[in-house]
Amino acid sequence: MPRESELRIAVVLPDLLGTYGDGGNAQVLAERARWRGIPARIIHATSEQSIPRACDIYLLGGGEDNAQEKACRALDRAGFASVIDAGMPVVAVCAGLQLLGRTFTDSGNRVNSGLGVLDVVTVPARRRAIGHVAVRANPALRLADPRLLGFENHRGRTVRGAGLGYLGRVESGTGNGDGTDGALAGNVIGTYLHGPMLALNPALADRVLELATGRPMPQVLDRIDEIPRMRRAALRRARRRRALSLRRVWRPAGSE
Amino acid sequence: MSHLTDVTRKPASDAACAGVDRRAAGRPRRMVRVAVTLVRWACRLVGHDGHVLPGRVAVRMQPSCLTRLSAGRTVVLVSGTNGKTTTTAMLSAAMRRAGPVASNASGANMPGGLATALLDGNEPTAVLEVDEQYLATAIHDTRPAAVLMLNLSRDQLDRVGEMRTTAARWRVAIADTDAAVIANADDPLVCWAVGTHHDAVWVAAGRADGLDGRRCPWCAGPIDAAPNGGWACAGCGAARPDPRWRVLPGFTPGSARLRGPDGVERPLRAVLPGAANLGNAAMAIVAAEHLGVPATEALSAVCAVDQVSGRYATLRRGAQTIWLLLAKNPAGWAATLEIIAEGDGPVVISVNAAQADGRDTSWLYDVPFEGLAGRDVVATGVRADDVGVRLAYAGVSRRIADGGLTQALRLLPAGPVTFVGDYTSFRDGYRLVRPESTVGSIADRQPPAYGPAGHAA
Repeated sequence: MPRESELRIAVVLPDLLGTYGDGGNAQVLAERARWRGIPARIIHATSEQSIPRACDIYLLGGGEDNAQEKACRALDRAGFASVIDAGMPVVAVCAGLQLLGRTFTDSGNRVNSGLGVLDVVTVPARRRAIGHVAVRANPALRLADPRLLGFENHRGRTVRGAGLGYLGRVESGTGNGDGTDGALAGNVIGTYLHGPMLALNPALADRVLELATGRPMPQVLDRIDEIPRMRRAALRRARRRRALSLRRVWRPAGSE
Repeated sequence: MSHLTDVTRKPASDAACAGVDRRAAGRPRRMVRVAVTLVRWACRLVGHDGHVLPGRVAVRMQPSCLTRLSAGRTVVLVSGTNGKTTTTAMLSAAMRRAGPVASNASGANMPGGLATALLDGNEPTAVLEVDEQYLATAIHDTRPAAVLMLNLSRDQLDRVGEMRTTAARWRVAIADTDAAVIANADDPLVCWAVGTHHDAVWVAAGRADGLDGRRCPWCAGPIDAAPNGGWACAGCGAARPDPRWRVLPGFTPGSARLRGPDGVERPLRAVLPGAANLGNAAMAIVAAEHLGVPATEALSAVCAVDQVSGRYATLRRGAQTIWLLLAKNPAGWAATLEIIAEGDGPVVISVNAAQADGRDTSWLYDVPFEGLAGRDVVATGVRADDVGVRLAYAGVSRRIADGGLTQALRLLPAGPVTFVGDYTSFRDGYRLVRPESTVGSIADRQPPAYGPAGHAA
């Protein structure tokens, strides 16, 4: 990103991938960039417009099944894969993660081909994963605070290809379904965490800004007093969910 | 309570009397009635409100009990994401002009709450609000005379699931029923859910969150606004059905009108504020008219409703006057922000995100809180910090009250305070404020203090 120009943050297909509040990730990035004196602009690229090419960050959110297929076709037509090939940072949540993969199978067992940007395959899981999540971030991200928190609500089991990194190791919750969450490939971050994820995890938000701008984000302290308390409470809720699910294993459903 | 399970399993006759038969004439089995009486008594003893438990026990013991209780009555079901409780209160008020009405006015809208409302007496008419998830079951069980479909938008994704799934369930249930269907033509997803129902009465009742981000339910294509407040899909050509009734929003507050199929425009001066309540009022009036209450009478009864289980009520507590509002999802908040935008007094926002509210607070980022900048805002509730962070990113300065509404009110000066809570926050807030206050209605308020002046008249 040139020094003087503004940071352009694209919210990709908010009309199709805007169901789960992930648009908040854009507000968080824009605001945190402004705190560092970087002007930022949010661009909502709905499916009626073409996907803008020259953005610095691309954000994809969660959506409903039929919207996800529609979004995938729209992105395919728009040549979104080439945007990613150019190395722009991408944060893809839930349905966004799934459609960047090679294939995703919907609840009706129909196999849809994805954009093939990430070497992942998603199939329906046995049951829906709903609840608070805590994840330890991949050390490759070098986060100041490596614990990622969020809320998941999906029924996908995502299998990463050999050699593809994960975003984090799940401490409590489900994530991909194999003890990891999401995917990490170059500047592409995929995850199942809503919350919105970047609001709950400012360290990751700043890391994305660093990837986009190519310069370090100085620590800005005391901007939002509530963040540490919010994160502590989110971690408590994630741990409580884990305790509850352990108890369920101990006392199988139906025995009551 | 193992004996309950035994009773549920024993009688094979339940399946047989699922339909309305001779024996199902309005009463559950004797043993169920005894149990219900005991539960009621126990509720009273421990000071529990008893809005759900008696009915839940009855339904558990005798699954067909809702069918039995509905037999011989005119049942009307009201469902949708937002406005259920308000519309139910409005329709009840209108139907009372024709006779006694049973209703789950407290908002207990799952099968237990429905049964409790019907167990209470033998009113010939029942107006019941139904949780979106249970509408199909309720249609099957109660064989309603009419069903009101208000709107469908995103709410509690962790509990309710995706709205498309909910709409699909509605669609199947509606295709099956011979009830009259009164549906909001301005909501594309509602139109899709009504499907090919033969007798739908379409009402252009508006949408709190507009058409932003809405996709065509038939083809997922883009939906655009059409002339006369309608909508149309550019992809497959689906469009708003021709409404028989139409809310005509006025240019000045209080000048809205309701146009009926006879072409007559009746002034729609609801005491409750905001455009969303004009839509709710229209739906209630149309339903009442359909069920035999003259439109003029229905209109005056509906417009006079001034608070709904504490919602929109103004309570005085010490030197403060607290206006109580409930908002629990982006569409509800859009309607609420429109109502409170007129004022400049302090606002308390309370979010608990308990099980009944939906535990994921991501939706807070789809609410344009930016409009509250410059107001004195206090965040409270279990998720006060999450609200605080959201407000911070919206550029709204705020204070956090960890100690709940009591502390929030202590932080604020004397005078008017607007309180907006999610479902459980509202319930707790209302319980806290009500006993120590004098209840006033919106009609008592000084017009400029809150809300559009015209509605206060």
